[in-house]
Amino acid sequence: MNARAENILEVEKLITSFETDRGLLRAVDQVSFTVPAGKTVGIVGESGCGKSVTAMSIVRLLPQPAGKVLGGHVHFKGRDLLQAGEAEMRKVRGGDIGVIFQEPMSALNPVHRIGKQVAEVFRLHRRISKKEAWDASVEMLELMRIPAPQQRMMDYPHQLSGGMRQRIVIALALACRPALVIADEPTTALDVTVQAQILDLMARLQAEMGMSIILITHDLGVIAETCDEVVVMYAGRVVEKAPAAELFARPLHAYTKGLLNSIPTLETPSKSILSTIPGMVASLAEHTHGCRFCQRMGRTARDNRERPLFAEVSPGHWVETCPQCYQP
Amino acid sequence: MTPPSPLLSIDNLRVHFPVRGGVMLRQTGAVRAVDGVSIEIAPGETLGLVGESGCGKSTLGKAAVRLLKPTSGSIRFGDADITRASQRALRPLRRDFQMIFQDPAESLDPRMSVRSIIEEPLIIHRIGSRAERIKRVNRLLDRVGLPVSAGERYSFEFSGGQRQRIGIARALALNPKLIVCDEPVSALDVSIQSQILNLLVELQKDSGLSYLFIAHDLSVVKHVSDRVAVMYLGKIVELAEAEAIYRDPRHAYTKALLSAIPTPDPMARREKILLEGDVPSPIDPPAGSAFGHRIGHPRYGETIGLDLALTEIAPRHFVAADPCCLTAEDWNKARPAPLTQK
Repeated sequence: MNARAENILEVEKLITSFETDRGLLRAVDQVSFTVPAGKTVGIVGESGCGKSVTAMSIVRLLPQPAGKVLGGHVHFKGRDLLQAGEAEMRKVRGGDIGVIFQEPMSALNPVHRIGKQVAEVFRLHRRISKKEAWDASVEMLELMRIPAPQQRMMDYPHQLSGGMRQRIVIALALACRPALVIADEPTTALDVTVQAQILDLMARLQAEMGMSIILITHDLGVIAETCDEVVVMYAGRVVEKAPAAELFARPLHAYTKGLLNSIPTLETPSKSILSTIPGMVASLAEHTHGCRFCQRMGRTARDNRERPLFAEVSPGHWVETCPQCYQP
Repeated sequence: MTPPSPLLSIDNLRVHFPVRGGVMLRQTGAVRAVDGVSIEIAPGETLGLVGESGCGKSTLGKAAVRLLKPTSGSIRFGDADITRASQRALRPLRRDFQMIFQDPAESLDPRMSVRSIIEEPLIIHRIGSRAERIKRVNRLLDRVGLPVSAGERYSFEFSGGQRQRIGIARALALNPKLIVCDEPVSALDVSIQSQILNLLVELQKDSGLSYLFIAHDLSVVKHVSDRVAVMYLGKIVELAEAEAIYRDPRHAYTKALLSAIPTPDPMARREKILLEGDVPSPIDPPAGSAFGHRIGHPRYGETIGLDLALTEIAPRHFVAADPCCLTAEDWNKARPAPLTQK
């Protein structure tokens, strides 16, 4: 079986840094993962661990001029996106790769009607008339299960609820039937009931269109319900990577275990003391070269100088094999 | 066992905000943010309050500590009726009820040192000498898990979790009996969230505090609460002991809300009840059952003009008497007596 042919996206040793007054700070430090065709890969971690920077590096939407991809490869459809020119990237974004952002209000232009914004995607990526683009947009809104799509096309973003706006943003991302969708915290700003609607919608669209999804979230519940594979990031590095069922059943890295144990579930006894992860994510400038979770746990720098090896310890299950944090 | 007399008791509370329109800015309607809510909180108890955004839970929390003026109904704190009390009359009472906000960054003054933030309530209430206040602030910092040196720094120098600790220290300064926590952990990462939840639970065990705990995360609410109230469009639709409401929800809205929580277990494939649309606008809400209206229930018509009051369906388990939202069996138990002769 040729594994390479099945992957729609392969990220290899990606390094992304930001230019700051304290020098060049590395936010993403040699991150590698693959996205199989038609599957959903979740990237999970606390704020500041580099999840979003990884995603934005793939589509080259880093804040400019500070953000720089300094190394690695992003293989997508037989080419390296990191080598592609700006004109080519513009075709890829919204064409082959759709992006769903967290805050639908800032992803939509407040002074243009919904219809114009959706139709624009079609006009940019396909050579079709205004009328055809309009009809395609109405069809897209119908696909998103938006009631009365003809009327919604005439609305401005502020006239819609949060859930409806997020549906529009998803419509924009999926308009050109992309092979890959990057969803950055798509439901974080929404109520659980609306979140359930949106996740259900995305699952149905995936079944229909067969696209792959990279889902970035800090919510392990959302990961468990939607993802085939999970990438756990900590302080700019991947510390563990496994199929979802395997990861939740057998977490091997101390950080993954810490995350899983700290969430109360409906089964946790009331008012019991929850387990916590002491300290917090170190700032980029303070990152050690050695194991960064050891750094958080306050283990001394002397026995923490080498970057732990990221190894496949059982089929498909990868983990940083730091002597302290790798806990099989 | 009779429950002790309540610390906070809210009766048939309404908080409406006028909607003005037209050239003369006449009142054209009202946002019925809180529309007839009755709750009680006992000393040492945590009452959880859940619901979707816009259901009025924050408004209820603010009204409970009189940061908002109620439109009608009554709020009693201990023996005092604070429904219409003036700001001046409220001041001595405010020692006993404090609030913690969702976004600690916005509720802490960036120009004040952490020490002055925590000390301020003591100064306002003229408590202690300067030296005693310094000691007290040091103790509070220690109590919430911050080093004493944090007092000399500014709130923006701290992370989200530490800022929330500062907010908690300020709320604790006056030894309150009740703290209203409005989404205290929803802006925090899970590992930090559990630290703050542990702190709140410990503080309660130590000093017998009561909490009104408002959050949209149902697992978090279940974890900290003794009883839970579910709010929908300005009204409480179900109120029961935390364990009971999660094990045996009776109201259709509670069931939908619970089924929507994502569980961190890929093997658990639970049937989700998907609701259409969002919470309807509290301006001119539907005349009958608001939730029945949202799900387009065939019996919605019957509920117009009906009093969908909370009814005790099982011991200490209250649910709105609403034919659209209850099973036939529960409706028979909950329906108001006069209707049975129909």
